[in-house]
Amino acid sequence: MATIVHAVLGYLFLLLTVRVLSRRPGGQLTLYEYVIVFLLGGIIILATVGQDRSVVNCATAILAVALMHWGVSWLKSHYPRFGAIVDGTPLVLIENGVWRTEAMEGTRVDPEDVMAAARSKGIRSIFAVKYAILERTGGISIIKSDS
Amino acid sequence: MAPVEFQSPVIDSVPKVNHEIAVGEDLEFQRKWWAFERLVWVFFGLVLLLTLLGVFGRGWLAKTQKSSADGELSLKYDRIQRTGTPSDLTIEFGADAIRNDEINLYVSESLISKLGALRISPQPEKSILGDGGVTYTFPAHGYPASVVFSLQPSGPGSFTFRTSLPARGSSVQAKVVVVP
Repeated sequence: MATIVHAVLGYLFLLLTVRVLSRRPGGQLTLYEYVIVFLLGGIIILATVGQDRSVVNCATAILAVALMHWGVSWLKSHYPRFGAIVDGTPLVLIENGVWRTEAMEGTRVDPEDVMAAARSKGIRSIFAVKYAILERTGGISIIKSDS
Repeated sequence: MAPVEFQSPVIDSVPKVNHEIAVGEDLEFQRKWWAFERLVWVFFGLVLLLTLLGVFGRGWLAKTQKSSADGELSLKYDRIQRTGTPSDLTIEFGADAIRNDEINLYVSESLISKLGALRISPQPEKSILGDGGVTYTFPAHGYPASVVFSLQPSGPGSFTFRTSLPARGSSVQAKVVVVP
């Protein structure tokens, strides 16, 4: 029972922490973000299984987390507002070739990250970007200028 | 090929930016979320600060001491403990606690079962069960004298334990909160 409670609370706590940490974990992970994701996961495991490292206990924790994840996915697909809370909404970072500083500061995305996404589309200069959109997944979509 | 059972028409429902690109941006919601994020960071900072101070055990605020009315029995312990985390309960005895070169100390059963008293240092010469606890006998030749109980609570909750010197009637009751 304690394992299930710890797994559920651990899942919710980790979800909140990763959500407020930054938009990117899961999207464009840099090395230091990998460190955060693995470190947080490792710490939560310690509290979830505790001293009982039996197969039954670990399987119980996995099933509890899997069920929580299924529940969150179901809620996301049925209630768009819940989806917005869990994943956020897409955000325009560059609109008609102009930086939206409010969105950049709010999401703590650097111009270098936008430029990296642009380069992956074969764009050489930031001036050729008409729209840059930070997606719910954490990736950055680039729309080229017409000219 | 089996026919597809459930289908629905594609609707262009995603709000557009500048009437040209369907993004589904909700800036109002996002602003509220950023405000919430700031509150969460303040909360996280507060939790860290309280943890450093010992509000959740193992810190300055967690440590306390309590003595019997006659001062012959004195307890130093953590009033806030963590599940599965070791801590010490030190019991100090006054000069009059020693009788016939020995100290008889009673501890209630909750100290052993709830707070997980695993080890006693020094080892008692004798342990007698009864009165809802255990009475230990320690050989002692002089003042100051103290005994350390190594505790390791197995679960969260609020627990009260009692220690006493049966020969003198000195008694101390203490409450410990165990956090998950």
